[in-house]
Amino acid sequence: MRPGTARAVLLRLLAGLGVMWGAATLTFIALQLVQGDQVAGVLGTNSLATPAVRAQVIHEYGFDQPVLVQYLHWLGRLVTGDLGRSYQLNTPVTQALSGQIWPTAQLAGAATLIAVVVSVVVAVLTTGRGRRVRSAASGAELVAVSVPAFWIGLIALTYLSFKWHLLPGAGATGLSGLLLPAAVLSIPLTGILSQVLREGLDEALRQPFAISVRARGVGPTALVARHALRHALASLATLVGWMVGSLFGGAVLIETVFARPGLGRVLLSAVTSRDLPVVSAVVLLVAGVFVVVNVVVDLLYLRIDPRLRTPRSA
Amino acid sequence: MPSFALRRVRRASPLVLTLAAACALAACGSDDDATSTNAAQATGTPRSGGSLVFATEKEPECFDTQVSQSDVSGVIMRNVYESLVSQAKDGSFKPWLATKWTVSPDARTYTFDLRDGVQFSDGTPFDAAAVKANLDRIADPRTKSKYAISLLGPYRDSTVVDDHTVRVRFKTPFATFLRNASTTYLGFHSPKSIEEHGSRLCAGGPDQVGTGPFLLQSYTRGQQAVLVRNPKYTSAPGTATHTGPAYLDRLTFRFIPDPTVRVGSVVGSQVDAADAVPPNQLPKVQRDAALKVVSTDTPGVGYTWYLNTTNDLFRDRRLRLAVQQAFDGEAAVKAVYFGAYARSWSVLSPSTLGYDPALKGTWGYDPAAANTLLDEAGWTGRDGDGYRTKDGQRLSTRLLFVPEYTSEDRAALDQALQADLKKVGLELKLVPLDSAAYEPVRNAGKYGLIGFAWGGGDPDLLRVLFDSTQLFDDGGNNAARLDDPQVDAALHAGGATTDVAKRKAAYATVQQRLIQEGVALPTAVQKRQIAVASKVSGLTFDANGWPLFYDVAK
Repeated sequence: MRPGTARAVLLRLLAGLGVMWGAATLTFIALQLVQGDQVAGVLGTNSLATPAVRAQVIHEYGFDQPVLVQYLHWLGRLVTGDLGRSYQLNTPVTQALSGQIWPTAQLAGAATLIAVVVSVVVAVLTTGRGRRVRSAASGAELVAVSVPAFWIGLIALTYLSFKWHLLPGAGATGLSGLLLPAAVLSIPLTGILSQVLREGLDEALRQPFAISVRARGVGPTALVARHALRHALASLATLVGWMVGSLFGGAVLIETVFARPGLGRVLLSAVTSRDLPVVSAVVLLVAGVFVVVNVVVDLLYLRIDPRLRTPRSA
Repeated sequence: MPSFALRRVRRASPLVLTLAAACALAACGSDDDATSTNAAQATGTPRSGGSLVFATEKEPECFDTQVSQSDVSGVIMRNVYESLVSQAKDGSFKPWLATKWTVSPDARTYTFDLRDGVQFSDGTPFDAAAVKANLDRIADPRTKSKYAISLLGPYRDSTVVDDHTVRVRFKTPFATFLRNASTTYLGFHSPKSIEEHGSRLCAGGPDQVGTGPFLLQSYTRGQQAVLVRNPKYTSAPGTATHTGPAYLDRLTFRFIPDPTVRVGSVVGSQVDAADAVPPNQLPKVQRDAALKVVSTDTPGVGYTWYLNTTNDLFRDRRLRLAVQQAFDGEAAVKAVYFGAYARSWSVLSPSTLGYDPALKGTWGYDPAAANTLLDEAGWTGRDGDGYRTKDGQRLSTRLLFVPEYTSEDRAALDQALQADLKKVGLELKLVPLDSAAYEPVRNAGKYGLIGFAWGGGDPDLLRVLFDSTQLFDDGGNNAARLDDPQVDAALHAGGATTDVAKRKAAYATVQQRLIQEGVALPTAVQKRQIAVASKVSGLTFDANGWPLFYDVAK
């Protein structure tokens, strides 16, 4: 890695830390805004717990300390990697989340893989074709983006699993259990990706280099796959941040419909039960993923587009 | 948000002062397990073995039922943690971990004779010291019990009289303790597991050690909890139909929150049973020959509207009665629940102890009478929208609700009431509030009506809902803000005695008065409906309307 690149990475990581601190602070403020409910968050709403238990909770969680002291304590604990204890589960948050990260990563990874493969194939096949092929493709993409994923999930489960028994249903584990939810989660993603890709490809094909390549005797499909694709990938890379958000948002619904373990479901139940330490931990985790993904994407730009590799000072 | 959740309060009143329930019941002596199982098989009934997958809507947030307050934790852990006594559906108490018991006349001291030879699944003996350790743990604020501690009420202490005798004392008379003691929440952990894992017992897993017919083998958050048979089980409750180990080898609770997927899973034979089948999915199950529906009326108070008796309008009894008579309950309940639920005649559901059947048909839809009452009250004018007016003011009131806690069916009932009231010229505004904003408005009594359900098997739950000392600000749920000396007196009479006939009479008074005064307007008798594969037998419900698995075979 060149010193310039290393410096860029370092700067971005520092900025990332700033983002994390901002996310942590915002979460803390949100937590304070519902302060009246903090004891309820621990004890559950409508709890018939005795005043002695309430007092114990207030004391144990430090709800009686000044807000600034609570904030500093909380930041201090975060720096040392202590995310606190889940109100509801009564276990450390890290422990509550640890088993949930992998299932969501699997789901998101598989969905991304499916989306990328399908959209690249669709885009390469439909670029530079006649109007009919193109409008059919963009029509399909529009539908894919607009139809709610959970609804597709319900339909897919009803037919593929409950009726025809082709695939395992809710609560299934293993690779076959991953296929259906990942495919459903990938649908809106595929729609957007192939749209953006095809636009990028069309743009690339209008460049003068396309004609030179064709002049060398390279076929149209090879031109798209080998040369234009690289140009289009740059616009795709900008979407990665959005993809992370979309995948995580989708995971909340998909995990619920398919009764899969995972962060999305944990977040949903934590929000409904006001388990604020868990909510804030998930927020921080997702913020962290965003930061890392964005740094990686920035590095990817350098690989995809050689023109960006020249040091800025030059 | 308290009032909206389908609640569990089973803070109950005493029931039978069951002195020395005899060992006549099968559950009580030490039986030869093998024989009883074989005998059952000989008669062609339940087969031992097999596994059952039960799909639930909710997932426990904590498996330590001495800490947790959730129903689903109670349902699952009922198979692991056992209680001193068990309550039959008729309200009577049967032996369980206690073979007999005595209650002092002042209802402050309970003495339990414990069953011989019972062991926790980790080998620790179940004895008087174990009872004391558990009750002391619940009462300790550091345990942060959300619910069980309220079931101990004015707990003073427990004394180990001898290995098999324990005495529990209360600071003030506590007639409801036997019923409370029958719930999972006062079920017993192995003292060894408390010592070793104490604060981590919420997590769910093999550290959860009880005396029950199943062991909690594993828990995968977001997916399922797997229980396996306890082969050494000997302590079946007097309410069960067999003794010795459970029939099932394996019992899996799978958490499937979406109702369509849950019901689809049982229709597609991917699970053996699906809990909480919504009425609109019921026909799908009924059409399927491989499935049956096992259901029970949910005990307690179904979805009911409470009319704020301190409100400008509803302090006038005539207006309350007008609302009652304007509501076409028959039609609304039929439309909303697709004919699957019956309409309620009392605030208590028929499966609740002390339900007063005499109320049936004594009140109901009579729009002409409602109009007459409103005329008499002086609301004789009409405005451009067809609503009644008096001195230029429109007859209008508000129903508060929190959308996130209001299920579709309840929202539909609210709308039906709104439409019916419009027909007699009363404007009902349905006011949505988010949960944070709702509580202060509610506690200040700034509403005409609110609606919620309140689960529980004992009529003492009416005290939290209607006693004058139980306003929201007092920590109670007196949503009608009722201050009625007759109701108060009857509630206290019912809570102070253990004589079933006297209790029934007291709670009948309460139920009748609530309807006659138009204070509460009940809607439908809610049901717990479980879709079960036909080959599954023995699924029954306890006094709280919870499914029981010990007698289940496949």
